[in-house]
Amino acid sequence: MNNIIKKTNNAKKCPIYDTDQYFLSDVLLNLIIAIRDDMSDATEKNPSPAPSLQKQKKKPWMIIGIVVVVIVALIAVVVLGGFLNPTETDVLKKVQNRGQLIVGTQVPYAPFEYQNATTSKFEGIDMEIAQKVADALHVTLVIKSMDFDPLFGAVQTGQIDMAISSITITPAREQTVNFTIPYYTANQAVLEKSTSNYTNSSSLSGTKVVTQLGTTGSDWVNTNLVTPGIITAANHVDLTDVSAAATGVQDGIYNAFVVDTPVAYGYAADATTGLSVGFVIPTNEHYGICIQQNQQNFRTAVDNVIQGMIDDGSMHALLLKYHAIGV
Amino acid sequence: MIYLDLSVITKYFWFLIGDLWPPTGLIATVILAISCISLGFVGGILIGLARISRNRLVYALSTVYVEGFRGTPLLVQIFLIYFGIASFGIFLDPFIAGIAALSLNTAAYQAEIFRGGVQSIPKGQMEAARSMGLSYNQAMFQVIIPQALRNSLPAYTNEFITMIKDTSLVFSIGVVELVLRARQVTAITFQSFVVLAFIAWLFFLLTFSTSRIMRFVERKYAIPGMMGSE
Repeated sequence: MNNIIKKTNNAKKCPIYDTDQYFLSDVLLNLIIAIRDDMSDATEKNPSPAPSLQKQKKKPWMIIGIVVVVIVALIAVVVLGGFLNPTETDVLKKVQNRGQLIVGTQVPYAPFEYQNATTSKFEGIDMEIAQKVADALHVTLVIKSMDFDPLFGAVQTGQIDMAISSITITPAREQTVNFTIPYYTANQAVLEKSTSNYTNSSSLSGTKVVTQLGTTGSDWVNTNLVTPGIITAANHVDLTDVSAAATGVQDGIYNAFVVDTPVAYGYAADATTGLSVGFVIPTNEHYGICIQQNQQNFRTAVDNVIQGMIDDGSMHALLLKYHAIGV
Repeated sequence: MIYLDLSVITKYFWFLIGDLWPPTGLIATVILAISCISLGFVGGILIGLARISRNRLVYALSTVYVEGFRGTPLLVQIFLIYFGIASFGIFLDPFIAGIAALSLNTAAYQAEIFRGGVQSIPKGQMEAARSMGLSYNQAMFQVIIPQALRNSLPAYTNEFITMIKDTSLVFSIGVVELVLRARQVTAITFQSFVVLAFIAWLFFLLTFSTSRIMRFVERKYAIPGMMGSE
């Protein structure tokens, strides 16, 4: 092998060790030359050593054969797998075949979705609505908790069948996902320490405002506080974690947390938090369940469940039970 | 079928790169990486020296530090230094808190890399230096450490690359660096694959340049014929 390598001109020599520095192109070239020599049985060019020391002649056909078989096997697995489990695109049929409804949500966001401190089960208004939808479709409910802003991507790609997480219906979101009929109307509220007293937007001048990343509260702060210059862009902090934001206001890191009214009132109602609602921002937003686009069957099924709950009064009773209305 | 809109990269390119002051986006990531790696390098040498000291108190303290910062998750350390300290009334700027947490963490790992390099130098070097009349400090800094650092350059490269990627964790305390910027763009445009693939590419450029620079440094300080060269 060494005499072949010396023929190529690229080899550099180290002054002390007389070794050669190999480049990838040289290695490949030498490999091809070696295979060619083996295939043409070049034993007369390079006198072979004693029979006991002679290495096994390389069998390039065996290597090529194995590679071909592996590739054919992989293709077969993919193709047959495709025929045996055709990818179902209709979400309603997928859910019924699977026997499970996979729902995405972001916790904690009391009273709509939160985890019970002792049992770790998911509870809240949104969770009970999800259970009703699963019951209507005669499947079991599986809840996946994730951050808020990836929920839309997860619905879009079909990772989850639907997302229910106090999601506001906005025209921007409707371009990539669809929503059911609304089931709740909310506003934004400014959550502050009980010792502060913010009464309107201009009173927030120069303060640090925190919001949750990807929510309508964050959009409101960008449009109504940052753009007119009431607060600087650096003083508007976007966190992915709602409880970290509320604790931050408690500890004094941030001055205000702009979040949906039921959540703000939920924190304010608990006297141990030391938080209160400064003022309410009337945005009149409607919550809807988020569903993949072009899924008319699934959307109709979920719409029917929500409409049924509104018609027979159970939606109103549910909202009253969690104090989401009557505040 | 998912609609991949590549124009969001051109539309939000400068938004993702970020401003110089206050630093946001890719510029914030680069500043975070450079600061915490340099602070960690200095701290790592000091703590590494403490780890091989014969003074029992110094050895014990440095062991507690290294085991503590290597044994807890970086995300927990970042939360503790920002939210945890704030609950005692000390408010840090999130950027500073991020640099502090990252530097303390990387100093612990670099201390062990340094200690490994120093302990791989044959004892004969220290004996020869001491018998020539050099003090312990002189022997360390003039004889042992130059050789030790050259030997541990590949391990340092590993740690630097890991740190560049770990700076992305500070998005959780609200530092506006590349990952948070990407999530903000995704929240507006809903093109998560395009945006995230683009910032993965930017991170790859950063780490690949670092590894190439370190390889150049290795070659420059290599002594032909000695171990740890070429």
